[in-house]
Amino acid sequence: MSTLYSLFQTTGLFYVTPGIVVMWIIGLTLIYLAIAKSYEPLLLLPIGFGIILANLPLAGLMIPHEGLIWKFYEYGIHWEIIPPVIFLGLGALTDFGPLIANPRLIFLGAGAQAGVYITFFAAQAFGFDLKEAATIGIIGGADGPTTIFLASKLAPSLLGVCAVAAYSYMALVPIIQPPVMKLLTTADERRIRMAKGRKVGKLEKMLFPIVSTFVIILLVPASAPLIAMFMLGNLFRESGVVGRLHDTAQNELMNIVTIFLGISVGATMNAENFLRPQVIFVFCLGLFAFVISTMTGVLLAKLMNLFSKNKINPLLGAAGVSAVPMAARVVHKVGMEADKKNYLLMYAMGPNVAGVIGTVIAAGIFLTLLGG
Amino acid sequence: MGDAVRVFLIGLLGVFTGMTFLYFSIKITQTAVTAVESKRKAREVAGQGEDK
Repeated sequence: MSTLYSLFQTTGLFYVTPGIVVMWIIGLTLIYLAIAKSYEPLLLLPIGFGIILANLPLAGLMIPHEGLIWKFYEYGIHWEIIPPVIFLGLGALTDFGPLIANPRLIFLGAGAQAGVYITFFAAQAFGFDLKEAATIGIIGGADGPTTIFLASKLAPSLLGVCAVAAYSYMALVPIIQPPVMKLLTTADERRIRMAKGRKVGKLEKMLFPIVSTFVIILLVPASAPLIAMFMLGNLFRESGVVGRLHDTAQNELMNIVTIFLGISVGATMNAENFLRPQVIFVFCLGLFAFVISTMTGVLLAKLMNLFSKNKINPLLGAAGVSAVPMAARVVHKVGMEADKKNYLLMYAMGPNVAGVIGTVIAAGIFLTLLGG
Repeated sequence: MGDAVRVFLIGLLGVFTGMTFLYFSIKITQTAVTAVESKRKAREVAGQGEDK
């Protein structure tokens, strides 16, 4: 009997606690949402699996210097490799044409960042320290890699929960944003048709990533890792001379690092770290951040209309949160509900990609002010 | 609280400043590209005229 008991002690089953079971359920729920509901499956599936792996007793996958996933985390996220490489792929996928054609929409990408800073303030009032509050605030930017990048530098203990909150809410953009957008706009405002944008030439598109790299990195040097790779990826795309690099950046490379990103983020969420009252606050504040970012974007568009001859459809402000292209699609859909012939998608892509840049700048400023 | 207010204000101002600079860079680039392209077109037209 004692031999059997000793044998049992060598198995992981002996060390299973209620907290571990809760984490398994959370991991399985994310996998279910990814597979059955298609909620950000590329991220939530590996994150869910990573959560399960990190909570298998004696598996040791997250033991420092030894565990397999610890190595992925350490050299991928802690060394700041994976988020910038994801940005390389995002840059290769991004068309800045709609933004260049209508540059004033760039301010909507800035307006939505107000939600980041308001949430930062709220989180601080709830008792989180400044670094944690900044990490929670950046969820409002609706940009997963930036959230992970900032969390790994300022509050690694919140990395897993902030990443899951960011990706979960990004998947829920079609549910979260429309009520806020409708609440803040009248039917007439939602029917505003945008003036047709000019055609943007190849040279302008090619110059944009180069000029932006100079401007943004000189102003906010801490944003360099993300902006540099984002703009390099875009230059691959627009130059038209490095088709192979462009293809690799937006497909194979991005897919490979997404696997390591997802599993590493999931594996940071062990029961000890995750099952804390603060986690509930993080999720609530993350939702608050999304809502406020949507509100500030829409309100800024309305404010701009007070001083502008060419009216902006205020729904476009909601696309100022990054969540590319989901937020732009939601704007298009809500606009179509008011006027079936009002096609806002291309216009919404402008503030949408501006939101990505805005979130990176916001993260860079947090890093500059609060240190690494 | 003082630090939070400082981060809040500098952060918001920083994002808008960054975007404003980016806005002007797009505008300047657009102006420069338009000027270069119209010069090129003018040269092409002049070249065609000479051929004739």
